Amino acid sequence: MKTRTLEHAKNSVAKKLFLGQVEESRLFPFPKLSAEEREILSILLDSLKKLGGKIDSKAIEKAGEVPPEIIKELAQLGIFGMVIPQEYGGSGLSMTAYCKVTELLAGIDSAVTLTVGAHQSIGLKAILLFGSEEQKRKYLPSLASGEKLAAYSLTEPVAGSDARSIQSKAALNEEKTHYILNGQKMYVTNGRLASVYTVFAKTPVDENGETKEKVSAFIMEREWPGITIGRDEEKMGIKGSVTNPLFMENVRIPVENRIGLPSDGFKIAMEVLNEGRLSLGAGSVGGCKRLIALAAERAKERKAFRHPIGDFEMVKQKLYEMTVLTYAAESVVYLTAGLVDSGMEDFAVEAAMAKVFGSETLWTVSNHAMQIFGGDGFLGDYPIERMVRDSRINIIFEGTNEILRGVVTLMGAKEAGEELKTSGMMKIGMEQLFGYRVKLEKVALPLAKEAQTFENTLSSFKIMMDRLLLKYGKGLAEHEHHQARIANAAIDLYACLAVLSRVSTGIREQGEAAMTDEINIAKAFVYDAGQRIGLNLHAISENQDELVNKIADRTMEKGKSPSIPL
Amino acid sequence: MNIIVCIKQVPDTATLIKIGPDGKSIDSTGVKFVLNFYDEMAVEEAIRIKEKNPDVTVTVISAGPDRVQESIRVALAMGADKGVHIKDPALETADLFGYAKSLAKAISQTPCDLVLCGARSVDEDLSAMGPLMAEMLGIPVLPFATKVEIQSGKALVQLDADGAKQTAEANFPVVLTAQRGLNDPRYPSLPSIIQAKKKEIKTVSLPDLGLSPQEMSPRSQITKLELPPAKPPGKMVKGEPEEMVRELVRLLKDEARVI
Repeated sequence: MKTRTLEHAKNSVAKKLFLGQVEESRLFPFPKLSAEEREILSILLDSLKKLGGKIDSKAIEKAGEVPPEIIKELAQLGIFGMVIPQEYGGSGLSMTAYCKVTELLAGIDSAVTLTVGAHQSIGLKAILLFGSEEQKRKYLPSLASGEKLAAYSLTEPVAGSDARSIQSKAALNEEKTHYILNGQKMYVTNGRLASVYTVFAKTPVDENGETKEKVSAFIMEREWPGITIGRDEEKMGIKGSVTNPLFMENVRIPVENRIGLPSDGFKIAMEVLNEGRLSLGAGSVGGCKRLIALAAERAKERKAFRHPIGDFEMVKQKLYEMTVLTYAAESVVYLTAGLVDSGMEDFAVEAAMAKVFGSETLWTVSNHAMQIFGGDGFLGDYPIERMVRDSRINIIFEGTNEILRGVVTLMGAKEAGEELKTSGMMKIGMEQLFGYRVKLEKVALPLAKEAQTFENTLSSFKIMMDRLLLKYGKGLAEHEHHQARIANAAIDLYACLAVLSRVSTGIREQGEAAMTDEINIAKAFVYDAGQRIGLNLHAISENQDELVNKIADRTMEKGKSPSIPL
Repeated sequence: MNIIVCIKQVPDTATLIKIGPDGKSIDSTGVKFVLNFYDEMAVEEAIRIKEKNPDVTVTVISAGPDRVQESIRVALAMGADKGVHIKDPALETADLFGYAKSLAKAISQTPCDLVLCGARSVDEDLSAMGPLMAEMLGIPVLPFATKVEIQSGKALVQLDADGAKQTAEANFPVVLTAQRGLNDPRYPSLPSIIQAKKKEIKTVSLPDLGLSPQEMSPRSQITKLELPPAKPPGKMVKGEPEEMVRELVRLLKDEARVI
């Protein structure tokens, strides 16, 4: 397996949207698992469903951890080594297959999913992607078998989203054989379960004769002296997933345990998170599907005013939103995973989109499911309240959705900015005056109208994007209201493409009749998304941003909002 | 030692069964087919014997359309060594007798000490395949096994005789059928699924086995299929706890007649 470099091919499909371009040849047909992997997965998913029968989420939540027997069974099933290549003791499954397994697990239990995900999506990912051959040979086999678990450890008390400002320090000893690590880490998922940590700390690096503090990445073993693991954190949800702080005092890390160059740490940290985000989207989809199944049954069974509550349109509206959003989120996750499997290296934007869209869909879906269950949904006798609590963290961890909206817009804007420089003002000026047109060729006929909606919205998006770049240039980084609008529009555009590709492919392979339900879903989603995009783009020119900022500032200043006097 | 396990692919019990337009068969569109649970126990038992005796070879045989290969693959992923798939257009109209004949013929052409299969299949539930094959092969059958022990050249078996326990033994070769309680089948792990991809599944036709299509002509025919009657809605018992219990006991005794 080749070691990934920190530079990758510029082949993101979502970034192209910022140039008003659609690479249809890569987006159609909708990607599929290879026949071989489909066969493997159909057996593996059945095995996991059977294991799922032994998982008691309520008991796991009460105990505050996943029972060791379940972890052992997951290990025996080979789940902890799914994405590790066979040469290092794993099974070398594709990203798509990994997402399918994550989706299924998340529909069973979120604590189990996170234990697997923290290990494999991020815990061992730096070794897998950027580790040296020796590091891989030394660590991956026991991590693949599940004999040992891994954890990712970046966040610190004063450095969350702003990961560059971590305070942990690692200095070389005089013999230059070891780094001496001191510092504190927080929110470490699998903290006390893990034996191997990917840990980030600042090291002094010489740059042009000057000494600068750079973030470096290290592999740290639990057994080494100087590591103290703090108590299990009490949390709102995912209570069965273990979260601990870590304290490091003069921990001696052999120099050969540094991953990459001393100055690579920050990029490694970000790359690992980019990779992990996609499976987080897949997990969200799994949660949504379980909630939809529960809510659909409830809406049919529960009667009020001598009708099943599903007869009432306000309930229908909820089931509709749950279905359509979940369908789109699933399309985004598996379009992206398929593209990654066929060589898309630059997928930070797509993964961020999958995470934002997936996590917010899960939040909406769990909220609607609770409303459909009424008072029962609020009781501990039903799984809904736990699933609502479990779903909330997804909007926060592995990059808050605010940070990720910034990532989407600024990475896309960078691409568009470079294009702007090369294509020249003349062309841009003409487009601003006379409009810009994009044409989709590969959307199946029953969705012709939806293809047109997409073309129109993408054209307006591109015009608006250029306008923002001309006005602000790099200064767009300071305008977060706009960043959020652009990101929201871009996510909806990418989701529309994913849905159009999926349904068009289905129509071509199975015929229109077999796809009736999905054609309806695609029509509904593209309509809704078009409306949202329109509102977001409109608000770029007409808004009350200044007022918004002023009110927020005043609230902070006074520490409260106004009250009616007695 | 050679063990042959005969397996059948059946509709998943979680699938909603619909009767086809001919009224004689089930509509298989959208039906998920899985390895019959009783056969899964038979496979598991064979693998357990293999784990205790390293010189054992486990061969899995199934007859039917292409899709049965999926179930053979599951058995291989559980740990069986090789598979045989009997595939022939004449099987499409064959009845139990035809299937038993083709399986028995395949078994007779392979060196074999022990034949295992499920005591019943969850679809047709006839419990006939094991005894029928044994009869055709001219070897003994010990049906409804709940415990199996292998001793030099013979099988010591505990049988479920409608709740009572029977202990029996038979010299090899012998047919054993797996009853619920025999074991708890393992589910295949990812590495073993990948390994199983490399194991051989040999496809044979009826002429390959020396059978003619005429020998498959059915001796019985299904003339009509009906779904079980829809379940009546549940009854809610109301009142004070004591009244409710009394009423519930009365209903269970007089109406449901289960106590």
